[in-house]
Formats: sequence, C-alpha cells, structure tokens
Amino acid sequence: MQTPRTDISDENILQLLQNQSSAEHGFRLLMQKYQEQLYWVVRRMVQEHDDANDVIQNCFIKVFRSIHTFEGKSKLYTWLYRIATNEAITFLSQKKRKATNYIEDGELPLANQLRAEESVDGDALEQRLQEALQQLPEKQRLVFEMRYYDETPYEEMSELLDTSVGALKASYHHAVKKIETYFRAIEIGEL
Amino acid sequence: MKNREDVNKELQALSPLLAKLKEKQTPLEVPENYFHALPDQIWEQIKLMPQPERTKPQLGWWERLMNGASVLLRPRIAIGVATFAILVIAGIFMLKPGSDSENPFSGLSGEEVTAYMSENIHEFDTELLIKAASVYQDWSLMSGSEFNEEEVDQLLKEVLKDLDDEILEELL
Repeated sequence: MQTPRTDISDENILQLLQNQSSAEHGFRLLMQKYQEQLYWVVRRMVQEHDDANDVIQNCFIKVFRSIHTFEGKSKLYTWLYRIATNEAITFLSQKKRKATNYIEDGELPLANQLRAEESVDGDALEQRLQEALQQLPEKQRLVFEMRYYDETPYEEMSELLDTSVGALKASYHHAVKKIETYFRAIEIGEL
Repeated sequence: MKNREDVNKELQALSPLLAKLKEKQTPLEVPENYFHALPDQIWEQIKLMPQPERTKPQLGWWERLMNGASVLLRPRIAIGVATFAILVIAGIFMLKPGSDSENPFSGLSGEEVTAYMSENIHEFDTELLIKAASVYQDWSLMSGSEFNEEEVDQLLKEVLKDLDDEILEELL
C-alpha cells in the first residue's frame, strides 16, 4: 500500500514551492509525499517500469513548472493525479501511433509481440482492467484505484480528496459495478 | 491487515468477479532504491531547463476592443484626445470655405473657438470628436508599450464598471 510518506501539509509544500529560495526543498517534499502513489497509478497504466519512469519524470517536471497555476480549487493530490494520468494517456497514444507506423513499415510492433507471447493470465486481465478504468469518470477512477490497489481506508481517502466517506463509498461501488459490466460485456467471465 | 480484510470483503460482496481478479494480480516490482533516487534525477533535469517565460497571451477581438476603449476613456488620454479633437474641429471650422452665416465660429479667433469648445465639450457629439481625433491619431501607438498590463487591466475594470448597457451596445 502506498500512503503519503511525509506529514507535512500540502499548504506548507505549496508555500515552499512558491518561493525561489525554498523551491527545491518544497519540490523534494512534494515528491517524498506523492511520488510512490503517482508512480503506481502510472505504472498500472503503462505496465513497464521504464515507461512509467519516463512518464513520472515528465509528470513531476510539468508539476514543478506549472505549480503556480494550481489554484487550490481541488486538493493537491487530485491535481497531481490528473497531470499524471494525462501524461500516461499521452504516452500511450504516442506509443500506439509509433506501433501503427511500424505496421505500415512492415515490422511487428513490440506491443503486439508481447501480447502474442502472453497467456490469458493476470497480465492480460490487468490490461483489460486498465481499459475498463479509462471508461470511468476521473473521480470514480481515482477512488477505485486508491481502494482497490492501494487499499486506502475511506477515512484517509476522505482527508486526501476532501470528500465525505459516504460519497467515496458510493463512488467506489459505482466504479466496481461499471467495471464488472465492462468485463461481462467483453466476455471475460472465466477467471 | 484489518484494512486489507475489510477491502477484500467489501469487494467480494460487490463483485466476486473483481475480487477473483484481484487475487490473480501479479505484484509489479521496481528497481531497488528507485524512489530514493528519483527526486535527484528529476531535480537535475529541472536545473538544466531554462526558466519558463511568461508570454503575453494573444488578445481576442473583445479584449482588443475593450483595451482600445479603456485607453480612449482613460481620463488623461480622454482629455488629451478631446483637446486634440477640439483643435482639429476648430481648425476645420475655421478653414472651411463657405458663407459666414453657415459657420457659427465666423468672426472668432482660434483661441476663442478652442475656449468655447472646451467649456461646452459635453454638447459635442462624442463620435464626431473621436472621428476627428482618429484622423490624426494612430490608436495602436496608444495601446502599445507605454501602458503595462496592470494599468490596462485596472482601466478595463473601471471602464466596464462605468459603462452602461447602451454604450456597450454601441461599442458592439
């Protein structure tokens, strides 16, 4: 389970980041607090560690360069999560485009090679699960990931996302039902 | 541990299918010390990057119009424009050929005409004054670099506050 690794508040981190002389310290605290959670969000989406590493580095660079645009309308983690997932989606689209180009060039794309080798086991199902997750609204996806993968208690989630426990439970339940429907629709019922 | 049990029980009740899938999950791994080294790696990249420049946003037609209006309606500029327009109009009237009876300023000196117009500026059609001034003035010079963004923003706010619907309709 990945929980925030530092007790320092988001407000303090933001204050440090706003000031040029303390920006590095603030940035390191920000990473210490959220890097693992965000890494795993990205890793589950892109699967390979090297890819996740590229994405997470781009993500944090983007965060640092645009932190002044964070208006505090949402919780900091929600904002970070959005940047991380957007980066991962961009990465996946670029990868897909490259793969298409390889096909046009007559080469078998790496992704297809890997897919051809994998058996219908955990990895393939995980891939389907990620596809299903992409169909969910952002908040439901975020809540699902925190509960299903990170096993975050609702109370902790509530603090992190500034949402009531009841609303979080409802979001999670909806997400689970939608994913199940997605799985049933593509007939992956035999586990 | 208790929390894990709670999560799994909850999932089992909601969707046995997903609960089964969760059991089958193969744990992903990361290289040793990866999270320890990551902040340094990223910070090194950030240090090498040029500081982001804050570019001036491109203005839309409405902003350009309102900027022009705000500059035009700014008290200092407005007085300048009005004075300039008075001089132009006075000049036009003074030099205009035609009978003396058609020219209300006939027989008056340039200074007298200017003084009259300054005192009775409210009676002159604003549009006429603007048109007269715009013959000689290049507005782009006024909306250029001599006003910083803050001044223009402030002016815009003031102008928008003061403008009534009728004037806005006319502007549009």
